[in-house]
Amino acid sequence: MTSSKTTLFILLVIASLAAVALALSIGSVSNADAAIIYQLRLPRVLAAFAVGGLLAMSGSLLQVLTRNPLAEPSVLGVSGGASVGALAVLLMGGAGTIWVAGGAWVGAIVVMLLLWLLVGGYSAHPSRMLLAGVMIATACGAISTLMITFASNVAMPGMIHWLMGDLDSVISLEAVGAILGVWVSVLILVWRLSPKIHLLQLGTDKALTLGVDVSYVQWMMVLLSALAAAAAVSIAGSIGFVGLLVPHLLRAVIVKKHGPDQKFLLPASALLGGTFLVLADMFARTIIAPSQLPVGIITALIGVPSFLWILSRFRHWNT
Amino acid sequence: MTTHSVENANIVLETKHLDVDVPGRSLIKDLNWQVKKGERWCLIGRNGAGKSTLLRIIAGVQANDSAGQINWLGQTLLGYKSEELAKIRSYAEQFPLGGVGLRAIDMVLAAQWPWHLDPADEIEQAQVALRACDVAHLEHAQWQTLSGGERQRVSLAACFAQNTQAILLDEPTSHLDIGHQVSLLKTLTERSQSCHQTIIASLHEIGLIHRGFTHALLLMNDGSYLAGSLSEVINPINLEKSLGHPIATAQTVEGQVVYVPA
Repeated sequence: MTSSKTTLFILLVIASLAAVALALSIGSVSNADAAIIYQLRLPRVLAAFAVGGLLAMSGSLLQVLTRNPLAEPSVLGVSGGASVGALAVLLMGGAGTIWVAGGAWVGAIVVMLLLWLLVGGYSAHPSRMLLAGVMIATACGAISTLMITFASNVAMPGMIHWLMGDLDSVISLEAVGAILGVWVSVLILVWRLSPKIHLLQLGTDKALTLGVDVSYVQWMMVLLSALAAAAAVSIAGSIGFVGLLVPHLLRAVIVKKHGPDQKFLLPASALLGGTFLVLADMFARTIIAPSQLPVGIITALIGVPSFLWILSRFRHWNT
Repeated sequence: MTTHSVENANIVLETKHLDVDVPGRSLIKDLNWQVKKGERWCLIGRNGAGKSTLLRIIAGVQANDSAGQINWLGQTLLGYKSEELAKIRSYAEQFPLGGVGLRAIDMVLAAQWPWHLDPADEIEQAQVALRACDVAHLEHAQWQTLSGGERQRVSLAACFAQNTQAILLDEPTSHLDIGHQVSLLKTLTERSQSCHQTIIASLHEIGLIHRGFTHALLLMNDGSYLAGSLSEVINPINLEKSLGHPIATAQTVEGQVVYVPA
């Protein structure tokens, strides 16, 4: 990384820390005592940071993989698949973070494979990929609703959680540790792959002639984007548009001077995504306090207009 | 014996009994072809004759499912690690793709990846390559905003920057205006002569054959081929057989022979 990218990266680290500190100090209870901060706010804020970072990395990976600037885990149905997978485990009586997260990962990977089969490869038909993804996302939403309706006696977080996403449910320290672990692991793996992911932007044929082991990199991107989305979903349900907004914001900042440098964009997504969701969740729990909004509503309210704006801006993206 | 091995050492690319097929159709049969260091080959043939497929197969981008062997520098294509092959041959697609936000210089910077250079050197080399292809002014232009011809010239700059012994080009002149067609071939020729680089390019503009190429591979409709130096294989009769249309010759003021549709 050149010096200006390093500076930007350091700024993102500072912004992340500042957002976490701010979110810890603001809440519906003013003059909160240490117990509230450490037992309620800290797990929630850390979980929000990891979830946001994972969703943004997943979105960045999917955008390169499908050559589509509108790709994102909730748009392509990957988050929806993870919701269905997690709900299936809960319905079968499975309990514990690991089982639910495992079910979510399986669900997310099934959707990724389904997209591959339906569209015929990940990068060949960007617009068909998007249509297939939107349909799968709709189907997953319907299946999730159905599962919750039929299983209303089973103790599970409410419908909103799986369809819209929120950080409202009590998050155990064990779960926070697990999601932060996934955040770190995905970040390290993605960082190591990022020079090759960068070359994939030139198309698979060109990347092949430059010596990139394209199919290995592509399947790693499938596994990691699914893992990132699934981990986020098993904690917070299906939160939309973080994976769309954050990569586009970052790209807009660096593209003039550095081009879409994935060696910077992917790790930076992990930080800015976290910062973004920490702040969005802070608004969600304070804006109509003492009631709370699901954070998925906040991200959708910002995300939908952004999606439409990007759609109009990238009219010629597949030429 | 000595002359024999020297000759062998000069062979950059060799195909032995190579069949080129697409699903349901055989395009080229039993291709035995030797390309030596510093030669500049044009591939001539009708649409669908197999020019692009042949380039993709010898480049190693497309797997060869049919019979035959391809050797780069005396070693079979399948025996190479992809990162080793990336230092031997570069390949410019007919319709190069560009990702969201990529600039012209990003394509050229990326092409130097096999060599793991210093970032500062990479930028300098990229600018040299862009200048050589007359697109230095487009360095920071977004790929999406470039015209077809500008994209082709940036793609060629990327091949130059990849710094390989051989450059494979799929219709490098198809989107260029006449001035740039001639100047691109001049650049290619100069580069090939000064760096002993081997060039293999598919070509539809038969008027450009004598603008720098030394050899030609003519693909016929029945799957046969003619390969050799221009003086051996390029004449109106062979061109007509390959292209399926009568060809006439004309002469420029400088005395250069050009071929035109009759």
